Amino acid sequence: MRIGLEVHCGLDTESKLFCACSARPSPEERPNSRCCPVCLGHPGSRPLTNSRAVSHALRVALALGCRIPAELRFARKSYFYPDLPKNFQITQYDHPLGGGGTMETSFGSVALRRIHLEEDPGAIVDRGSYVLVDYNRSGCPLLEIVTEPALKNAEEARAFVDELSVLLGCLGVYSPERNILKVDANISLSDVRVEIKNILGQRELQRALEYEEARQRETIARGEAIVQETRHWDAALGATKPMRSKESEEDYGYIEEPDLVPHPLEKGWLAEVRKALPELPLSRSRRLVKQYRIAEDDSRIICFSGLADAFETIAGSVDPVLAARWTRREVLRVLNLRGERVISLELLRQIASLLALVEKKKVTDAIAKELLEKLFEKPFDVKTRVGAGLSVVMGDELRAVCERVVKENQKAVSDYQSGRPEALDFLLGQVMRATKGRADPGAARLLLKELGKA
Amino acid sequence: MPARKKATSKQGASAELPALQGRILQGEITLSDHVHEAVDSLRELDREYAMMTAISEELARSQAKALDAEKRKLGKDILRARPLLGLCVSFKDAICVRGVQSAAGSKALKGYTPVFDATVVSRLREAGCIVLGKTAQDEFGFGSFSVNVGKDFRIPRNPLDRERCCGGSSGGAAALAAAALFPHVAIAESTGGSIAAPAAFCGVHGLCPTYGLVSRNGLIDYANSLDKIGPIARSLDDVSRVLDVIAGFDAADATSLQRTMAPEAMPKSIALVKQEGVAEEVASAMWDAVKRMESSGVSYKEVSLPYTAKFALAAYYIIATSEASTNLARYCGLRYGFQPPVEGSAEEHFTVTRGEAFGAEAKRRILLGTYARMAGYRSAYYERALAVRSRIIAEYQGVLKRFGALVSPAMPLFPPRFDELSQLTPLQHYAMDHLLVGPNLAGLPHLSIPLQARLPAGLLLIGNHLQEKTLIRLGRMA
Repeated sequence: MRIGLEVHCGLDTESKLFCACSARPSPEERPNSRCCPVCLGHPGSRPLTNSRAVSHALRVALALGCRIPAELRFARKSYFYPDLPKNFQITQYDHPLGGGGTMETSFGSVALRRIHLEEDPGAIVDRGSYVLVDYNRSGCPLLEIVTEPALKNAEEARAFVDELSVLLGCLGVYSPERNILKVDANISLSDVRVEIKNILGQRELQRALEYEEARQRETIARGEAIVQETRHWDAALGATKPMRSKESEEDYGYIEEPDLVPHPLEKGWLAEVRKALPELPLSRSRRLVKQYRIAEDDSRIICFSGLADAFETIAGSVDPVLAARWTRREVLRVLNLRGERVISLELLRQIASLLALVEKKKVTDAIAKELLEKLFEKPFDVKTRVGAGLSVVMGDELRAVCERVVKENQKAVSDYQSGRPEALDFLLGQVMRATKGRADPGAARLLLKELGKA
Repeated sequence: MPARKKATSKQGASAELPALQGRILQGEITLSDHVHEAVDSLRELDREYAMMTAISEELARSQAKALDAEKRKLGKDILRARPLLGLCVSFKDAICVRGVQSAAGSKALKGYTPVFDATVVSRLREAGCIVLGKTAQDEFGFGSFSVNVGKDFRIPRNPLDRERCCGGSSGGAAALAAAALFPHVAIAESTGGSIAAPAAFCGVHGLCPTYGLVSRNGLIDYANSLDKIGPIARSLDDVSRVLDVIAGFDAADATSLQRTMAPEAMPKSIALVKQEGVAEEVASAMWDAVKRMESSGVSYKEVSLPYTAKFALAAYYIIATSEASTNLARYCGLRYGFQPPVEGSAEEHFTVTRGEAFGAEAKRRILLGTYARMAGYRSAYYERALAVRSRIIAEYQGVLKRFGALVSPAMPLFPPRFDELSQLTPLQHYAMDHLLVGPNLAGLPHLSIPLQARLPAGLLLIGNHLQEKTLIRLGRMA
């Protein structure tokens, strides 16, 4: 199986690609409130290229080792759709901003075909019997990154997009909170290529590809042929649906965008952009192995998952090998569980104090894991909670208290075993009483569960 | 017809801007009075020749009032701030004037009032010009005779003979320039010859500047890589003074040139472009003009531009319609302009809207342009036409290295009568542009000067890029 991806991601610029309207949504904005004659396609309006969007795109192209053309050129891609104000999209065709290139990932190098800049259409708002159009997003800068069909399975495809979004964040051109990320995927089990459009986000990508792989395998198993076509991912339904066949592929009738003259991409500018590139995940991973003497495997995953900053902060006060293991396993696990990628500085400080306690064996791994999850829910001061006053009821001492409570309350234990979870609250209450409220309830609950098992 | 008589007299004292400005500064007339008279006169002309698509009386009056107040405050100094004080200007319908219907002569935009002024409009207003209204044109500029007007629009008539066409596509502009009884300059637009052709047919001066010299910001597009805005006026003085105001870099248009016009030069020699199919009377009038220039010390030589003669027309129509077919896609009855009741799907609504909104020639050019850029035909037509265009530019540059300017008739014939035009096939219509598409494709400035003949005809002067001043100087000698 071979999978190729077209990733469309919003670029984090202040203004839109071809006009001065804000590219950043505000929390309670009204529909069609961030628009002007240019992004509404009024007759006589002219596009002007946002050079910040171009330098953002160049950062990506250079970081991915793409060939940069001598000139920046745009093209018109024509199709009729209500969310497209001019009924053509200004994009790039013959002369993409980046040709070729390679993306380094935690699972190896992935060959790229091209990357290019284009404008986002507006958004269709479905109202059942009719639709409305909101042009606030119209004209926002999008970067399209196209891979070769080089990915082997759905999991790799997801990891690729995960790590790409980390890279884009690290380059400072993309913000998961503010910018969209959409994927079109093509998948071929044999030599017939099926394209899946309209996949929003990494989790959906994996689901869509897994579904499509299964569908195609079943089709082949039934002895039927796979049809070359474009399908649409219906997230609610959890299935891909046929959109159009090869014969009815749209013809976009590309022409050069005549309102934007080719703009030279001067060598001096490129050199400046290249010089300002931050340390990229692959070289950072190598550096971390050397500097902190951590496992190469841990380092790669930390760097490609965007946790390198977190790791280096923690490793400032904790044994780096322990910090690496915990960052790679536990911190990443909790982030994945929560679908998050960002850790606040305060939270990092608390994680570091927690791991310092682990290092000094003041809390067990099991308790630390549970505390870590709680920290992400609502940060608290780890030292106060686990600190001085509580040291009495940590570890073996807490275990002893719990064992005693379990022994003295056999009825509650058997209630718990027979499926009445509220009995555990009673036991916990007893532990808190016995320790004068100085036990950590999370850790105690965990121990009680363990001891109360039938 | 009083208008006709005036229109043919070239030097009516009251029709000269400096005379008018003198009277205003002396306090003999206020701008409000002047505008009142001009609008009345314009309405009368429009009833006779149908050259307007909108008359912006309210705007003109409010401008006049404001300028009167400014004049009271500044006195004679007002001319320093407003060098074109009191000059009435009209704009081809495709040029956006804020709050005034700007429809490019198309039903698709009937009732559309732009939310901003085109750069040329704001520059002329800043210079003290009064905006009288919008002039008739072929729908979106699609024609050479101003007979392809949009549905529900009137065909403008030639002020020198009502039964003849004005030329196109800026027909209304040239007609008003010829007929106006007050100082007036028409701001027109040329894609493939739409300034020189009507100027020639209406017996006035028309200058199409170097591509990019005058900002296109606010121009309703026909073909963006070809569209140029320029003046049509009765006198070369008016052409020149308006050009000075509208030319120059505009940050709002990415194709606007940073460089400005070259200083006026006096060419020693010009090249006469050999042409086929020129009517005898037109050719002989042209020769008279060439001889006059020769007697003023400008030698001439005949040259041919074989590549341009053979391929310019085809390349022009492919590039122009390719771009036009994308530009017209936005008119779909969703956001502005003509909108029939919404029924069915978006596709159905678009189809009904566009079917009703566009005239036959607009539909023809959308089909032609869409075909030329389709996958499978793109390289054979669109891309090849772009390559041809580069070679045509090179051919002109080669000749213009040796000569100060090129000379030919602007149109190969006198303005046809409407009954004659209706006999022509679309291809014959397109072929009428063959003298003009070359310089338009090459983005070269060209000026049409009225020739002395039985009926109106124009002498075309083509210069190298940014040589507008030299063309005007040559034009004075023709």
